[in-house]
Amino acid sequence: MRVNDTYDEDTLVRIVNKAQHRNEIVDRTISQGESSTKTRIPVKGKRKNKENKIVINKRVFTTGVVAIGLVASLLGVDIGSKLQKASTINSKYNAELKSAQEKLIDNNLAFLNEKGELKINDNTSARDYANIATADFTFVDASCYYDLIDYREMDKLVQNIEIFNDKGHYYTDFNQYCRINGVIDSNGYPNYSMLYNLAKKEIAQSLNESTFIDENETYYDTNIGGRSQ
Amino acid sequence: MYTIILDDNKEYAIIKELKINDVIYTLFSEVEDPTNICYRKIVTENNEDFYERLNDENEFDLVSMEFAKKLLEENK
Repeated sequence: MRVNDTYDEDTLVRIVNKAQHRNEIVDRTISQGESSTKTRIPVKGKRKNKENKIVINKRVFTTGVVAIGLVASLLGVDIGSKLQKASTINSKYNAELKSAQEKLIDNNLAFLNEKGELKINDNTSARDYANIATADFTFVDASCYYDLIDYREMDKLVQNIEIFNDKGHYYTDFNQYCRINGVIDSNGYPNYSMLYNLAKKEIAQSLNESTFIDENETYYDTNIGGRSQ
Repeated sequence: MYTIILDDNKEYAIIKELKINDVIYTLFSEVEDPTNICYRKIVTENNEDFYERLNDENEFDLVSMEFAKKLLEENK
């Protein structure tokens, strides 16, 4: 399923319906101007209920509560929206990071030691990275590999990447890659924060354009349309 | 399951508790109609704990968001 739904008229109507449901929950939850002591209920008043055999369907509650969260964000609770988006982007980035690590291992460029740490093999060459630095190498890829390997290895990796709009010419080193792509600080040095931000921006754009398809993604699927239950 | 009669005189099941900013919030579901849910926070006065309604929609949004995140995590 697609990660990102577009908000067509039908979806918006359902969102508004959810919002109305939200208002009911707000009414049951928020103090209505009366003295707060009147609405206090002693916690010790709770009791073990053996008579009721109610089956609490966890998914139903998840749906309801998540719907509240999503509606809150869609109706202008900015922090919720940002949290959700950031969470999705981080999740995507981590998945890409994991994939990058697997590629390094699969291509005999690295291995996991007994502590589970990634270690680069000795005597790697630029040619060894040919399967990794493919034609569609992105900022997400660059950031992930830079998370995993050092400068010297990045130098070898980018030597397999053609310079944009300059067919037949390849980057000479990672410094040049960063310089040509504007990922440098005011002193002209590669800037990891910029690269990471570009990677996140790239993921966000992919999400917005619905080009990122992940069968396991549940972010937007949770409830906006009241579908899945 | 634990239930309690809240201030609207309806019996609610206690679904989940979550500590947010050092305050314990509880998600309830009405026994008669489980789709009716609400939140309360626990306040302590004279060494006794009470369920109390939330102050405003800002607090509500924060709490519902945190519960949503928690439940999403648990259902991954």
